[in-house]
Amino acid sequence: MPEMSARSPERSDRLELGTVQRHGEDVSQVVVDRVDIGVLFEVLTSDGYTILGPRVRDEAIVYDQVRGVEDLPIGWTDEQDGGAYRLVPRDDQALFGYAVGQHSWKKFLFPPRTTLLEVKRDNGSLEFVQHEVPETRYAFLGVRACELAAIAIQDRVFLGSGEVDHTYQTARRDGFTVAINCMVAGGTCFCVSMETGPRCTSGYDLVLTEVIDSDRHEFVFEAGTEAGESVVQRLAGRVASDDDAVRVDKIVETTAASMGRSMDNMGVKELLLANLEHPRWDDVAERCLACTNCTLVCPTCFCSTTEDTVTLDGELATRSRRWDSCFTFDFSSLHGVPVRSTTKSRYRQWMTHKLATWYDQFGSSGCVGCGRCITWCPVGIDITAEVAAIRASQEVIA
Amino acid sequence: MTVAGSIVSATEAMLPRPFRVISHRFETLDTVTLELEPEDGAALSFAPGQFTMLYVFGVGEVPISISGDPHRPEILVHTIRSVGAVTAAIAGLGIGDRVGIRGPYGVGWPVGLAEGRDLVVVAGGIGLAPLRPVVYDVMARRDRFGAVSIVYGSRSPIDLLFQEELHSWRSRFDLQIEVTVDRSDESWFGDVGVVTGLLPRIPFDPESAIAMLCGPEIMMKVVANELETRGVAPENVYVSVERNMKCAIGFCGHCQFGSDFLCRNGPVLAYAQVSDRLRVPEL
Amino acid sequence: MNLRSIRDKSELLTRLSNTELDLFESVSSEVQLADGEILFEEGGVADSFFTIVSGRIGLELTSPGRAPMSIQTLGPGELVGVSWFFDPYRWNWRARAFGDTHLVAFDAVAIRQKCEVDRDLALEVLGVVAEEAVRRLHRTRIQLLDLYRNT
Repeated sequence: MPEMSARSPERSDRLELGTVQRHGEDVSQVVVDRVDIGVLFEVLTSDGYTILGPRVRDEAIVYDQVRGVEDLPIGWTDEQDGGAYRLVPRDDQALFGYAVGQHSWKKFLFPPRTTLLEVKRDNGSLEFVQHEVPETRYAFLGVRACELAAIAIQDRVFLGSGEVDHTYQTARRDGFTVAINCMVAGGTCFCVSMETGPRCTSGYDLVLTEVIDSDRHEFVFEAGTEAGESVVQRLAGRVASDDDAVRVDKIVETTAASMGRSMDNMGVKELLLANLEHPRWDDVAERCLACTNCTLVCPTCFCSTTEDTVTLDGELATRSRRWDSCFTFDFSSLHGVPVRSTTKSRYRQWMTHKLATWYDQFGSSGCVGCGRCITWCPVGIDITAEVAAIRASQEVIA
Repeated sequence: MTVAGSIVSATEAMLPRPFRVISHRFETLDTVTLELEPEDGAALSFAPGQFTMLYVFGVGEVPISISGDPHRPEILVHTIRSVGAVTAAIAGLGIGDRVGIRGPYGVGWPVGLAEGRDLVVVAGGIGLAPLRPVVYDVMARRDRFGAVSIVYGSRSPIDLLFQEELHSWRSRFDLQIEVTVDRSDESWFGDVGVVTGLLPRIPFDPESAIAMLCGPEIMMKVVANELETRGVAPENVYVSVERNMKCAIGFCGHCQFGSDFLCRNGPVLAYAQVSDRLRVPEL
Repeated sequence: MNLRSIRDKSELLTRLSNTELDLFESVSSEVQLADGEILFEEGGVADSFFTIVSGRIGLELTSPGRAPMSIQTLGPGELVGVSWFFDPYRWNWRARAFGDTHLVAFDAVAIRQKCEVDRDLALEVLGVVAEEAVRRLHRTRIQLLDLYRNT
C-alpha cells in the first residue's frame, strides 16, 4: 500500500502517487475570469502537455484531446437516470455544467489495448522483446472528486500491490491533473454516500470551481502541488477573497444536496458476503444482459486479458493486453468450461468484488459513487437499489 | 525475475524467458511430461506447489504446476494434460522446441509445516503432478518427517501418471503408497474405488498430521470431509484451488476466488479458509 | 477366534455391544485365502458374511469371453457382504482375495434367525448393514461422476 502522507500542509514538488495532501491557509486561491480562461490552455500547452478533457461527441460528453476553450461542452448539461443519458442545453454558457459521461480517465492511464511484448522466431529459437512504453505527458482537465478517488484506487491496484504497471506508472508520473468541484450532481451520482465527493480534497495539481451567475462568470483556482502553483501563478487572475471561498462552499453544498442516488454503505462487505445465495441475485440475473457496459464505464474496473497474434510468415508474434470483463461467458473458463456459467454468478462476482472483497484486497471500497454503471446499463440496473434490497430483506429476518 | 527489494514493472514481469524442450514423454494418452532447460542457463528455483506461465509461440500462455524435483531446479519439469488449444500445442512440442517461461508464481505446499509430523498426500488424476515435488522434497530429507503416505486415485489403470515412480515408491519401506482407480480393466489387480476408501489403510496421527490434497474440487471436498471425520482439523488440510489465469501477477483479475488472487495468495490454501467458498456454486 | 482383539479395527464389530459381540463370536470362524482365491461366487447363496482382518477383497463381475473386472476393493476392517441380510440372500458379485487375506466369517443364517426373535438385535444389525450400504452408495456415486475425465 502506498504511504499515506501524514505531514502537514506542504506542497510537494510533484504529485506523489497515493499520498494524501492537506492544504493550509497559505495555498494560493486565484480567480480567473471567463474571458481569460484560455490562458490555462496556453500555459499547459507551452509546458508540453497534451490536454485531455470533456467534449461533445455522438450526443455525449466524452474525454478526448481539447485544444482550447471552444472544444469544451459550453452550455451543455446532462440528464441521467438508470439506462438513460441525454444532453440538454443549459440556460447559461457554463464550461463544466454537467456530470460525467461514459468515459473515465482509465481510458488513458490503463489503455484499452496495449502491446506487451514481441516474440521473434528465428530457426526455432525465440527472442522475447519488451515493448517500449511511449512517453506520455497528459494534462487531465476536468477531473471530478469521484474520479480522483477512482484514480487513487487504481493507483493501489497498478502501483501498490506488488508488481508495477509500467504504462500506468509512466502516465501518472508525468501527468498533470486539473480537478473540478462539481457544480451539478448527476441523476445517478452518489459520491456523498461513498464519501468521495463532491469536493476535491487531494490528488490534484489544480482544482477549480466554476462560478456563474447573472453578473459574473469566473473560475476559482486552488493549487494542490508546486507544479499546480507554478501554473496558477501564470494565469491572469486576481487573488481570491473570502467571498469567493464562501461561494465555492455554497456550490459544493448545493451539489452535495442534490445527489441523484444514495447508498447505505455501512457494513456492506459483511452484508454481501453473508448473502451469497440470496434470492436477489436470481432477480437481478433475470434483468442483466451480461453486456459488460458497467465494467467498461466503471472507472475502477481493471480486469484484462492477453491476446496473441502471429504474422503470416510465422516469424513474429505479439502479446498484447486488452480490457476484459468478468461478465463475459468465458472469463472464468477452466479447461474449456466456465466456473461462472450463469449470468447470476457473474453479476454476483462483479458486485461483491466492487463492494466487498475489494476491501480485503485493496483496503477500500471499489466503488466511488459516480453512477456510470447505473446510467449506462441498458436495463437500468441500479447497484444502490440492489444493495438496499438485500439489506432490507435482512432487516426483516433480523 | 525479481531481485529482493526491487519492483519489476508489469511489462517486464510479462516477459517470458526462453526454455528448450530436452525430453518429452507421454504419461497417458492425453498427458505429457516435458523436461525443459533455460536457454540462458539460470535454473528456475521453486517451491513445491508453485507454477509457471508457459508460453507457446503465437498460441498463448497457460499456468502449469511444476512437477519436478525442487532439489534439481536446473531441469524444469512440467506435466501437462491436453484440454485446450494451448495445452494441445504444448503436448505436440518436440525435443529442441522453444517455449517461454515466466515464474515461478504462487504460494506452494507447506512442507516445512509438516516437519516432525505425519504427512498424508492425496492426489486425484492430474493432481499428482503438483504434489510430486512434495514427495521428492520429503524423500530427500526423509528423517525430518513422521509417517509419510501417498494416496492416489485415477480414472482407470491406463490413466495412472508416473507409473515407474509409483513402482519405486511402492518398494520403499519409509513410505506407504495406496493407488486406486475408479474403473478397472482386465489388467488391473489393484484397488478399485474412490480415494476415500484408502484412507483407513494409511497410518497417521489425526491430531497432528498435515494433509495435502490435489485433484478435482469435488474430490478434495470429499477427502477433506472424510479426514475431518477421522479427526484431522481443516486447518491442517491444504488444497490447491484452480482458476483461470492470464497474468499470474495479480493484475488481470481472472484468478479471483472470493478475496484471494490465487496467483498471489494461492493456489495452495488451507481447507479451513476455503471450505465456505467451495460450498458456494459458481463463486 | 477372540473377536475382542480385532474389534476396534472392524467397522462391523466396533458397533456391537459386548453381548452382541459374544453372539457373533459364537457363530464365527476364521478364513484364510491365498492371493487370487475366490471367497464367494456371483449368484451363490449368501449364507455367510465377513470382516477383513488383513489383505483385500475385490468385488468382481464376470462375463463370458472376458477376464473378470473389479468394481470395488475392500480392505482391512471393512464388512464384506450386505446381500446376506436381504431376500433372496444371494451374492451379486464374485469376491476374490488380493494378496494373502485373513477374514472372520459369520454364519448369516444363524444371525438372521436370531434377528427374527430378537428385534433389538435386528435393529442393530440392520443399522450396521444399512450404514455400510449407504457408505458404499456414496462412494459409488462419486466413482460414477468420473471426476478425473478430460472435460
